Amino acid sequence: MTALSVTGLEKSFGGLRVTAGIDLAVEPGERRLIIGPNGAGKTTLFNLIAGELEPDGGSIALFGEELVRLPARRRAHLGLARTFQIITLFPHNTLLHNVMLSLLGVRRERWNPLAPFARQRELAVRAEEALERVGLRHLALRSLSETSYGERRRVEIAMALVQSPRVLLLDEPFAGLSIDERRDVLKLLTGIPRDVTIVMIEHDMDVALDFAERISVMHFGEIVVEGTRAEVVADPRVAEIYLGALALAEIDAFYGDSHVLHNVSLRLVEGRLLALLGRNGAGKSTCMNVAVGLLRPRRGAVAVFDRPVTGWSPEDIAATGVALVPQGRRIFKSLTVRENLVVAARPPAAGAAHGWDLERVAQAFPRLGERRNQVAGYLSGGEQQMLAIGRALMSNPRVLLMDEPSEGLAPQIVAEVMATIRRLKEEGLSILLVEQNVKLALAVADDVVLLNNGRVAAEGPVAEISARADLHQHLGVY
Amino acid sequence: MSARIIAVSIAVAALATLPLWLGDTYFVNVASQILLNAVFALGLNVIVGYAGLVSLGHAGLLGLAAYAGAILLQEGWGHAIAIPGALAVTLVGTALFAALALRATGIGFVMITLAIGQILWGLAYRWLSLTNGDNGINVSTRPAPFGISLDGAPQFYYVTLATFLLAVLAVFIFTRSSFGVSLLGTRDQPRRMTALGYDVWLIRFYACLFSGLLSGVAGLLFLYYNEFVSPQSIQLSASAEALLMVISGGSGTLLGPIAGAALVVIMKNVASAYIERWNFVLGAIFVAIVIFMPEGFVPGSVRLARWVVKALRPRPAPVAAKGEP
Repeated sequence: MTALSVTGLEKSFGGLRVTAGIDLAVEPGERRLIIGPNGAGKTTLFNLIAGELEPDGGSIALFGEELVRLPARRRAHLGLARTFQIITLFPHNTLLHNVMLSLLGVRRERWNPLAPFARQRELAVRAEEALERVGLRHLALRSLSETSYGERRRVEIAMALVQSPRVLLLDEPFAGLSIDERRDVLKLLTGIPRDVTIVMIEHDMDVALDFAERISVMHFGEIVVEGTRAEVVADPRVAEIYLGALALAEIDAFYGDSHVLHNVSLRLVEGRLLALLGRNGAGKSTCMNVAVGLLRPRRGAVAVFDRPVTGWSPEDIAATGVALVPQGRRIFKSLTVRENLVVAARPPAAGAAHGWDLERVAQAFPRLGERRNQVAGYLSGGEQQMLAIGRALMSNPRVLLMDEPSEGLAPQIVAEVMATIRRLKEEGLSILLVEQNVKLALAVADDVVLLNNGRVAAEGPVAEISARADLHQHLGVY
Repeated sequence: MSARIIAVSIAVAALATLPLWLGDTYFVNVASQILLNAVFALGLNVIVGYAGLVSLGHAGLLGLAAYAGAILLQEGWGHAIAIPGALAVTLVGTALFAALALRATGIGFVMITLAIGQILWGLAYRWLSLTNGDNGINVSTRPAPFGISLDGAPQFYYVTLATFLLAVLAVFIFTRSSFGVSLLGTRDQPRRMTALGYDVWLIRFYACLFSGLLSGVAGLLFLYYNEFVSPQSIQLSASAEALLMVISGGSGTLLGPIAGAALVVIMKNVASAYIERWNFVLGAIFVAIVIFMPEGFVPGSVRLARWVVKALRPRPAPVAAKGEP
């Protein structure tokens, strides 16, 4: 019997069809991953399965039992648990209280108006076991408001597990976590016994693909591709759907009458570093200008996280989470280091952990911290470059564009800048790098696009490109 | 914990001996008023503080009990029938009240409760054959449990005190119980609670019933204290006043509504003897509370006290070597 079977599930908001006849069959014990661009209807699908939304048509069955007519709370009692994309916990209570409350939800004792909740030994013991499982037992009596974002994600999972679910829905369990935290959560999820069936929505493909056995790709409310990891990755439709963090499509751009970019398409995959290489005048900086909205393309489209932003103003594009470290740094020379950083500050996007603020920038670039009250114009070139990067990070971007960050810097400083770039990439930032120093660029890049005379001359993973014999011909001497 | 037990013992002892050291009948009556208003505020706090649903119609529930009791007595029934009868009527009325109001939360809930409160007031005012309209209903006797007459101020005070202590104990047990904790959960994260398997609506409904029961008890105390009930005592301003007690004292706390009731009743009775515009003073106090202790003055005072203790605590001398020859 299938653990979770969804057939012909339909839901519209107003006239907008959010899910269009979804069919999904998850076998008992399976680990299923659901991916798809923003707005594909993934969370809506979860809300329909969990009962927060009522479908317009179709059926949902949990181990053969029809759920559509049941209210959400009944579904929890039948063994359906979920976590939320945006963490919703009880912030004034301890971790233990949070988990106990979750367990109480599927117990009869929840109606008892006399017996003190805190003295329910059996609930407490089971809750402590669940906290142990997620490695948080030592924090059981700490108030939730004093825990880190990563710990809260694990509390969410403990709360779901303590209900002994048969099917567990995880909505972006890795969102906003650092690399270490991701690894911990992955280990934790891998350790869940096979009597729990797991369906997971996730954007972090690297982690999620390792975890899942089968993958369903959603697009515009439909499941377009389904299969094993290899099948899905090889499917050309998936690449088409997944524009990635930043995409330029068939761009033609002009400066006055001169035609600078000819039909340029490039795609920066989330969490990766795309190096844009080419000779002087090949159109690299123009691509940057098009991406951030400084130059309006005459033809073609720009998308940030699958959201079309073509023709948007630079400030609106910046608000979608795109930050530029411009060529020549362009810091505010008469302002202090601190002021340079503060003017760019923007709160982190909802659900993002580890917001960048003055303190964190000072930690990442200790010399900026030391000189925070110094006028920026008196900084050395390397420090100014750090400041330009720090300033971009203060806007808490999801996509970072860097134009010639090594330009005019001493070799030792260049190495430092490159180490910083590598670290940012490891933290999950998607980076588009334009760089004259090809050797350096190839050392940090995942993917490469080669431009020549405003046209894409070659593109592909870094290993493939650097092996090409005609590389030097496109790049000239270096 | 033991400090808390000592504090509670002292408070109970002070309350129990209050008629002895307060002497004056007038002040004993003020104390009775505080306690019966505190029972009402405790009941309202169940909804406002613990369920996170603001009601502006609770005076209607208090009035339901008072009128039901008064009418039953007027019809010649004894206290032994009138008291449980009035509470039963209040519970049924509260069930209807909750069934209507719980169709919404937030501002919608406020508006529905306001409307129901106004309907109840309108009935009291206009249904002359039943309620005697604006003239109200007089109740000539107080009950006499175990043959003890409650006509004297101290005697009535003790009955009110006993009822009040029972109400405090009930709320204390309720908020710490599994059900009470679930109610707090529905206040903080209703969506989450549904996903966890809780019936948020039914939890809120039961909480309303508990709140209505306490309001009904307060309504009977009110009736017997005044030996009279009229539409005036259940109008909108009475609901608003109860809400002010809860919010000024500290909603969602056990002591807050009690302290808030004391504040309002003392201002009303005592300050009004000295200042004609006592409402103005009360308003100024509320504004000050909202500005300086938005969480209410019980939790606010605790916060201030902690801060003062911390500020007064002697710190280790910053530079020990300084001053040495």
